[in-house]
Amino acid sequence: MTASSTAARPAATSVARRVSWVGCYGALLAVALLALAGIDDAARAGHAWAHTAFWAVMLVLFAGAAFGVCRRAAPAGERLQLLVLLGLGLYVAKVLHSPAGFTFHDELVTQRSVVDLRRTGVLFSHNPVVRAYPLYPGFELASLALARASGLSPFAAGLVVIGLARLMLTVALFRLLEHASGSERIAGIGGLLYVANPSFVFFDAQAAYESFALPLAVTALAVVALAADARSRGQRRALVGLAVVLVAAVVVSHHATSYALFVLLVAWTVVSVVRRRHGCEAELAVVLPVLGAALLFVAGWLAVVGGSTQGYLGPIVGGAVRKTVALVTGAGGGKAPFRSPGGPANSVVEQLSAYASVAIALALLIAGVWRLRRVKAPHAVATVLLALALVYPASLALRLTQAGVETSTRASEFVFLGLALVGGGALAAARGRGARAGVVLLLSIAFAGGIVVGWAPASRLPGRPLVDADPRSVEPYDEAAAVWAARHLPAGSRLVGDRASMLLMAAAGDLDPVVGRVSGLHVADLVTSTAFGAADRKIVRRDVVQFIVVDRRLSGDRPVVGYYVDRDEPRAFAYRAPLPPAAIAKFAAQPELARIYDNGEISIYSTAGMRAGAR
Amino acid sequence: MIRRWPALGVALLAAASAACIWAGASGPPRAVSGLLLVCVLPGAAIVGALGLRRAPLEAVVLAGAVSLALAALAGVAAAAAHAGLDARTTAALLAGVTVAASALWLAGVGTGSGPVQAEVRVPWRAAPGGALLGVLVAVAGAGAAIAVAHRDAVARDRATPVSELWIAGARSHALLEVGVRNGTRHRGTYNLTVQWERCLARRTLVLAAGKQRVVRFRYAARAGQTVVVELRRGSAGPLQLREVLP
Repeated sequence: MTASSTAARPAATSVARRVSWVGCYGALLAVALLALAGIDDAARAGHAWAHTAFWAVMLVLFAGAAFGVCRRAAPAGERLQLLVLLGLGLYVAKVLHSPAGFTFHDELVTQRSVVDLRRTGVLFSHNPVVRAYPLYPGFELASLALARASGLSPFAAGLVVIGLARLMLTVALFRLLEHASGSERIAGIGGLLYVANPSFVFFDAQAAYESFALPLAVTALAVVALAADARSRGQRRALVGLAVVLVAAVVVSHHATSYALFVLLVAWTVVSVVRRRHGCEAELAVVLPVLGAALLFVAGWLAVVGGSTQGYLGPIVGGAVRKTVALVTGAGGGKAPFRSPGGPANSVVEQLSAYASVAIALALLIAGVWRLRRVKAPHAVATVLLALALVYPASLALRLTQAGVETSTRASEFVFLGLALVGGGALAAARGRGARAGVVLLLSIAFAGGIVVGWAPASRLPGRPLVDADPRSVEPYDEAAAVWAARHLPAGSRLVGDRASMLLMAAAGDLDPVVGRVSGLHVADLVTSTAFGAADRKIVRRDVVQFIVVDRRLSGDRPVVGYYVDRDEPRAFAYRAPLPPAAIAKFAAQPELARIYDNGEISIYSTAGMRAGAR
Repeated sequence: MIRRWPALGVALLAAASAACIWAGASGPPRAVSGLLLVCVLPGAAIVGALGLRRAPLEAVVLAGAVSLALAALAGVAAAAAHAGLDARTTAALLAGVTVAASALWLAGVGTGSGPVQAEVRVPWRAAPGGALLGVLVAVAGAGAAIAVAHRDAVARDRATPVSELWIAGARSHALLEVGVRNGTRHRGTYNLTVQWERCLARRTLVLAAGKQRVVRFRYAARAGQTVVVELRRGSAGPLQLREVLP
């Protein structure tokens, strides 16, 4: 791998060199973001053209930066600046989706932990939606500290913290790739490829613990890599110390990210040991103490705080692997890739771009590996990232089952670190007339396809309300009911309802949703059954369900996420029609249920009479 | 340049210490979070941004200084909030401190001479003036876009007429309290009826936008009877509550 040259260029290019690409891109970014604000509003008003305009603006945002990054004559630092602007611009694009409050699933779950922490000042409180969140409170602490110190709302503070994290991620990623490849151009192109990963634009921009921990982890890797190049012992110690602090911050912020970081550090150590006689002694000297600290922190946190997260992660990862194995052996069925179980579907062009993005990534992986036969990786970290890239095909296999989609999407934010180096190297080697345009075109397709792969069509833009569609289900009626519940119902009361209602009631209403099974009965049946029977009474009484929240709109459409209450309900991902109106009306016919709240769309029933009758 | 670090560092350290002491006085979570916020995030970002390959130690020092500067800003905001200043005054104060600190930092890094100036690469300054202008335009554009999107989203939410009706309490003592909230942007005239056994009570309510009221009804119904409350506004479908008397 070779460093990009910034030596003298022919006179014909001198004018182009005097034009600041960063300056032009900054202006383009400003216009594009203003246009996107208008497009989001048009989508809220239900204009169909907004979707086409959304893709146009996103592609302009990406391609504008890509053209600058891929220039061979780019001055030192310009690629990093463009990558930072692109990363932050895409983050603002996500903010424009929901500029007045959190609406994405993970953000709402996090909000519950933030509210609890703010109210009680006690760490590790119970989160009724996802138990793991409060056990890794790094993001909650950072955003709450900013909110308290500055007077900002927790919403604004969360946006600022994740914005800072995004800034850190792009800078650290660039530095890591630059160190591993020895080339600023490969680092820039690799950075663009990383931006094309399915999680980057939306999932990793959520104000939640994973979006906070990932940048810390990548920065830890970058600092370790840079420590290996330190010129004195003092410098090396300072950087190793910084890396240890970053590892500690990752461990208290997110479980899976801390495990991934630990595994990468182990791999890095092993490769450094194997290649210690071939110029990797310096890397071994710095990675070993960081690995030791990581082992200590991860094991300590698991033992003291995070042990119960295995009960959360195990079923997700285990289910994904089991279903994939079942699919391969013919014992189970798969799912159509890049299709949502309900709600708006991807267009044919969008599906094609998704397939193309996967094909491009695979082709770049093969080309990159082929190229590395001739180019010896200068650092052990490059070998580690190469090994990471080879995991990509396996992560794709998980996507063929419904249970594996989530694991595959989350794996992409790590796997693409390796793919960025390998693919970036392959693309940077492209030469000849029109090579730059071709590279930008490939990267742009990969970027668009990445969004299609990683984020459901219903959630890319705001719009008319949809049934159980996460951001599209957070509407004034739902918010009003949750605010009322926070004011009038006892905090921590147990309630049953559909997924979207329960999420908002937990986040803004301070109530505790009940899901899963009670005495072998699915709690979800309480919502989806057409008649209120003995089984429903049993659930209410045995699981002490205090309130039932009923959304009349549930009978209007199928659930976009594939289920009404939880993913284990009997007909999850198999609904062919909306709930019948009888499923909504059954509560009104029950004399033991008191309807204590109504706003036209949302009703809340108290079960006090039914539970009293059982005593 | 290197001679300027101690003075700058001591000044920032003093301010940051005050901020951390204030933050720590409020309990462990805030102290821990303050540490995370002011040291890890911005520090790591700046360390990476400044190109550690060329000047690792100086970059770490600079990162620490910037982190401490952020802590000082947090301290200013906290002190302002503690002193009871309103949000606008606090924001102005913060802006002033930010500008002053930025000017100090740029002056220190940009005009000095010696090893730090020679080795520390500051990307935004190294780029042509057009780049800096472009970044400023991008920041302004992003800010304007967020402001526009926020205004539009809030306006659409407010345009959705959410009226609310709820049972507010005191049901077991022959007294029913019903809460009504008018969520629209306009005044709302409501017809409220409460029915129990064969009796019916009516009220007409006029509520300003976003206002709520609790209405009391006295009744004389037996235990186990059902009270039905209904709220109508114009031709819109009724909101309905139902309570079984204990």
